[in-house]
Amino acid sequence: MSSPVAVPAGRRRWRIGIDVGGTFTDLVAVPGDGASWSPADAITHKVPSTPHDPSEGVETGLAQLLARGIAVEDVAAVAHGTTIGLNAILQGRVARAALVTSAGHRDVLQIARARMPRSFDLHATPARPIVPREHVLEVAQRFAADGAAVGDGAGADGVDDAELGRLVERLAAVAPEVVAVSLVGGYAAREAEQLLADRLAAALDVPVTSAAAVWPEAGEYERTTLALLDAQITPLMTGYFTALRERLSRLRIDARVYITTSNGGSVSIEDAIRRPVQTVLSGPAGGVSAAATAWPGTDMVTVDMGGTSSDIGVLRGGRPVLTTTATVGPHPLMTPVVEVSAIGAGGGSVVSADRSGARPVLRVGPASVGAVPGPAAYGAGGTQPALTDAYVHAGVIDPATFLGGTFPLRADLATAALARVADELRDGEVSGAGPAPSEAGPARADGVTDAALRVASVGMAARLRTVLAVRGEVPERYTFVAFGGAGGTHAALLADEVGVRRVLVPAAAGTFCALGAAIAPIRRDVARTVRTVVGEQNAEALTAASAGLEREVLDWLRTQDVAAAGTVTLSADLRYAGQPTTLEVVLAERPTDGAGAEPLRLEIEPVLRRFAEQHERVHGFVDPTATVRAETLRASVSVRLGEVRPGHGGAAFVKTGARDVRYDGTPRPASVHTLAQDGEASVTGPAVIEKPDTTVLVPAGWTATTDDGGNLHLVRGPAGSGAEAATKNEEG
Amino acid sequence: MLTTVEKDVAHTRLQAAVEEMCLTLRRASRSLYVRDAADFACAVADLSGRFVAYPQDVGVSGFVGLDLTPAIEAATANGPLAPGDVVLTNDPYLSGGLSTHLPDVHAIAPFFDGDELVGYGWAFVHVSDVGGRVPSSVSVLNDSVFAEGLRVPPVRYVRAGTVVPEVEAILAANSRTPEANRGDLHAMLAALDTGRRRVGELTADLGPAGFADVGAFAREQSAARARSALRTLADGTYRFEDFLDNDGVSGVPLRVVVTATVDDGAVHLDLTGTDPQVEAALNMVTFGRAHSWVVTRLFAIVGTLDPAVPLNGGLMDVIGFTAPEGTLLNATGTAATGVRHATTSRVNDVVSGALVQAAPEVLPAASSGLVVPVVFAAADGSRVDVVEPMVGGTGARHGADGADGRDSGISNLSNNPVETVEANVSVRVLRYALRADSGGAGRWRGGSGLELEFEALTDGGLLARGLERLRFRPWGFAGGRPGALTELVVNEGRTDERRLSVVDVHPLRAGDRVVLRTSGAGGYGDPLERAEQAVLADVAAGLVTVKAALEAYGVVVRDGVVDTAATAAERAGRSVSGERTGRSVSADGGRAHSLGPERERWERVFPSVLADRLDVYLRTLPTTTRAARRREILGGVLAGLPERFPGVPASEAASVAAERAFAEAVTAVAGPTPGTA
Repeated sequence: MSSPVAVPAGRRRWRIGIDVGGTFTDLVAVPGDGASWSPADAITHKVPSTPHDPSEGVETGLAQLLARGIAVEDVAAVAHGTTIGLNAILQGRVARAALVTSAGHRDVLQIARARMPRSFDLHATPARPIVPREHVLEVAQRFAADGAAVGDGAGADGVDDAELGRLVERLAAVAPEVVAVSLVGGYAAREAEQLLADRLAAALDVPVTSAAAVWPEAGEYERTTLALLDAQITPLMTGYFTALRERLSRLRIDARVYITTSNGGSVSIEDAIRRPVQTVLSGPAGGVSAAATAWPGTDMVTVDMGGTSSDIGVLRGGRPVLTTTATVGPHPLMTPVVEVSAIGAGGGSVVSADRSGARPVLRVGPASVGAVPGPAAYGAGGTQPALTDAYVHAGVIDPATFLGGTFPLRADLATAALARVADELRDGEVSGAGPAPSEAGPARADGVTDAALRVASVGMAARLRTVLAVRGEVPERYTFVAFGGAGGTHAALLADEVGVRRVLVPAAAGTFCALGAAIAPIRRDVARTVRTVVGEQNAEALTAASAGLEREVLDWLRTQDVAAAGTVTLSADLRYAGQPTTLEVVLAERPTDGAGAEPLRLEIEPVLRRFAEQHERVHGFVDPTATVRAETLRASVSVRLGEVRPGHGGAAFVKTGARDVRYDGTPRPASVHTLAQDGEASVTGPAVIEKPDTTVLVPAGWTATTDDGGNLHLVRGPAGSGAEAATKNEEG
Repeated sequence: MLTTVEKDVAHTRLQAAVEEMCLTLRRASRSLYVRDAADFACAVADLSGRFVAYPQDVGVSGFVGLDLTPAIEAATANGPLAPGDVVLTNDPYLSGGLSTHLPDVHAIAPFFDGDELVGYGWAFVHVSDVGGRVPSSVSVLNDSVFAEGLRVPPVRYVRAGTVVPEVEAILAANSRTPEANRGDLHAMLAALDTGRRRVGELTADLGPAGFADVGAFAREQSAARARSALRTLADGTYRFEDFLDNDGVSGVPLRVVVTATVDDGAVHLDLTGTDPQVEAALNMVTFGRAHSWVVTRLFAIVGTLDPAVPLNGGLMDVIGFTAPEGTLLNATGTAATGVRHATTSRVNDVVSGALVQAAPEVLPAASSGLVVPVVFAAADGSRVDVVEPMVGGTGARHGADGADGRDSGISNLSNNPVETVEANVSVRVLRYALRADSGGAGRWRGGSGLELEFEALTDGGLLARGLERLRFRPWGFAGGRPGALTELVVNEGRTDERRLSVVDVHPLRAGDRVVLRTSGAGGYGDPLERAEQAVLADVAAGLVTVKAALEAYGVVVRDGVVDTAATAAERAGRSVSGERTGRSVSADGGRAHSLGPERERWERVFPSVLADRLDVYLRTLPTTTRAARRREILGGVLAGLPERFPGVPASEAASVAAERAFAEAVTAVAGPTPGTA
């Protein structure tokens, strides 16, 4: 279970990325001494995951990776992505929590944002609140929008000893393992809320989280939810991270340990323990993060096509697009998170006949065959065909060489399963699903295969367009970065459907997320609600507030033990007065090494100009007469750890055979290739390129090249521009 | 001839096209109605004028069944549409019922393949203001469509790709918000451009005939799915009626009646018996045809039973409709329509009330049935802000409690964070919470209403349009009790306490406190059969008080636990004593509905059978005089009853007198009751 790359001789420092998935734990070691490196220098390793205690698989994997020739003292850092916080939340395996909020607002979680999940559904049921109503207790204290205390409490936090005593008594009756305090207006009165949290923690002897300390932004429902999520997974995550540290020290690894975060960065393990909620959506962010580091400056859409779904992320100018409206299950996450959207089918999506309408139609998904029994071709008893069976029947996937030949498939079972769907699609009508049932199985399966590939492509294309259209973008100018088991298999078909002309299939597409962990920058975001007019008269106030946030992230950075310098990005959510939505606009970008020395001085005019430009691009108009207001100020510090050297030409393909491949409804003779040091510089479709971890379809009209990093570059059109072609930007 | 796969795939592409249209519109719009309330939509129709693809979850869903044909016919009276033309209209009457009130501006663009017409793009936006008597153009007190603003018949707003400046000038001159409107209109044009491009790509592949095939296929698919979903309803004829609190100009309530006939998955709604159109903005223009906006409850039933059904005009193929001319649901002449959603929301309730009898395990009891944007207006008129858009809960159904404090039945609105409200509006929100003991008791409890209490920090005014259910409760079913009534009180418990029932603008002084408690939804099933632990859980959560647990459910809760023995005795005693029959029952077919004491009192004086006969008489009068005549007759009877009737009981003597007075009044105009002559 190891990549064919040998550990090079000679000493170098390593940074190890670890991604724990449902089935496998992936490890990637990359040069970690700050210099630039090629993906070909990376060492990958795969071990089975250990769901009962994921850190066990991590230890096993690390031990085996080290055994391949990395000296313990040469490990510069270990970066780890984990989904245990996410899974705990989704499965409800979280600590028993109580919430303390302001009088009159006990139902902040019950009412939430008041929307129902669907309109035309008389049985629609809102999600269950994250904490039941009886675990929510009220105190008199609350704050106005300017942070002034409202009410008549007597303590410094507005809660006198008698009220605190009663509150503690009622809390004790709930017997919580953790408590969150989230008062109305608390975002503007952090000290007072923290003081109440501290007093409660002292009295109750359980961890008490102040919501304003986690994220002091206005929006009581979202902030309260964030604090509760953080509190609820704290015991579990603390336990896990502690176990992880013990396992590392057993291996004598005393390198710094970083945990990847939902914003596409990473933080020290101590910071992750202190604020575990920042890790929950780090998994999907990994691939986007890896693309950001590998191909800086490029407009990319990552297409991660796994077993049950395909997920996309967007990078504009090489920067991941973040969102502050992500959700964990039904719960909102108001912190900036790499935006990853599901667009449809995965390799395991079920291919079936839908007979609910007047005519039967073919569907791909949303159900999945799952890991067990898997697609029919796995021969594990599955009778329902999956999209993977269509790839097999179409000849795209060779049953003998699937996953480097480690996992032989049964093409006959795939064909039979698809033929059964052909029969179900027939309803005394010309359904277009192929010849009559009297035909042989393979011929009947042809029509279903063609339809399944087409339905999957068109369905994904539809969602992809919609996801981009939300931001006023169209797919044509983007490069696809395709990974996951089926990413390379389907990416060019999807590209053809949406007019994308360039597809990158990264080396080690199967461990791309672990690579993302290994090379994720150190990053932290902070935010503060300000609500002020953006104008020269406020330049000093805005500067002071931004400088405060800058100090906050720089102070934080000093706790992360990184030598390299990075960037502080100061930004603001701006809107025209009276407009309902905001746009995040950069105020200033400053180097971390100089930022402390040089006093910040914000220039208002360029900020307003950038806002106008962005507003024109996203919303299609500007209003020079309207007042511009800032709602939220943000600061983000990011430190990159080494650079990936862009791949260069030189690597090549060797033809290993030829077979017929069906796509677009037609069988075509295709050449079959693998990567090699010497051989042809490019491959022209129709062709199939077989890699140990994935199979890449190069349709007619496409040309593939490769680089010395092992990345594949697919370009629609004739060969010529070479390996760099796929990352070249058009003006957008 | 396209294969099914090709048609299905083409439809997926069309579906993506309409969603992209909507997102284009939303991005380019400048109006709060679009961005906050999502009061817009886009779609693509084929030559039938019916929608082939409609957004599944962006914008307003309720217009999926609109028919563009009458508006297109009106626009083409002076020559056919050409490529690049866009037709605009907002008038319910002149657009053949396409628009439902003047602020909804509809745009239609013909789509061509070469020079062959293949279909239409459509978009609508609720714009900020189209002139008329009041800012934002909508007030229930508007007495005719002329008070509601500029009427735009279907005219070309864009001719061959160029905006017609004369039309734009007229539009701008007739709005208080010309710039915002222009932004919204141009947002629609951008959306239609997107649609034209995507449909062009499709027709390039399919040709005009192929595009027509795709449209027919998509509508047939959805019609078949709708029909098979509606086959869940038992065949038969079902009647139900419910009331709006008042007619907008007096305290006399309005009756909405439906007779629903289910026949093998097709549903016909006959609204005969519904009150005449009124001189307030509560009317709906349907031309007597099945109109998308009045049959949304049927779409919801289909969507409940078949969540993945593609939304398109095919859904209308299984729906029939009758509404006599001159009634609330088929207004004619120049009746005002601004607040037609209050009426259609009661139509939802009567359709549910009728069809719950046909599918008692599918349909819920009545939801709270109101949407009230509670508005605080600055004293100098400089600002008008929504504090919270208030709704209630959803009705309980067989097997499940209703949802507390949320109801998407009319529109699925987001609320405003209290922290944002307090930063922008001169109020302090003292309480924004679920309302205990408001959900109708039942084996499954109706959803709780909400309670909003705020203090004015400066002088100003309170507005609360859509205030409903202050007089007649959301009904329960199968033994489930009705929900609590809506209450709106200023300075509750103080000497200057005021209870409000109709609000135009109520002045507030700094320090005044306003509390709105929205109605609870109806319960389902006998409350005495509710699991003790479910009652206890509600008590623990604070949604049902210990007192109500005993009174409504017969469950004795002591020190946080159920006293099982006392509960058993209590529940047994009630079954024997017959207290369970204390619920009121609709006089005319809604046998299993619990309507509450107010309806009981009302129907004792104004029984359905007499109201029906009065309606037959009223329909013999000229349209514009019917409402006044009805008001005169009912008002005469109500004059002998307490002012807050039916909220408070009348004395036996007064009730008997009123009963007799109404019967005599009906007999006087409509002749004696058949069989008693």
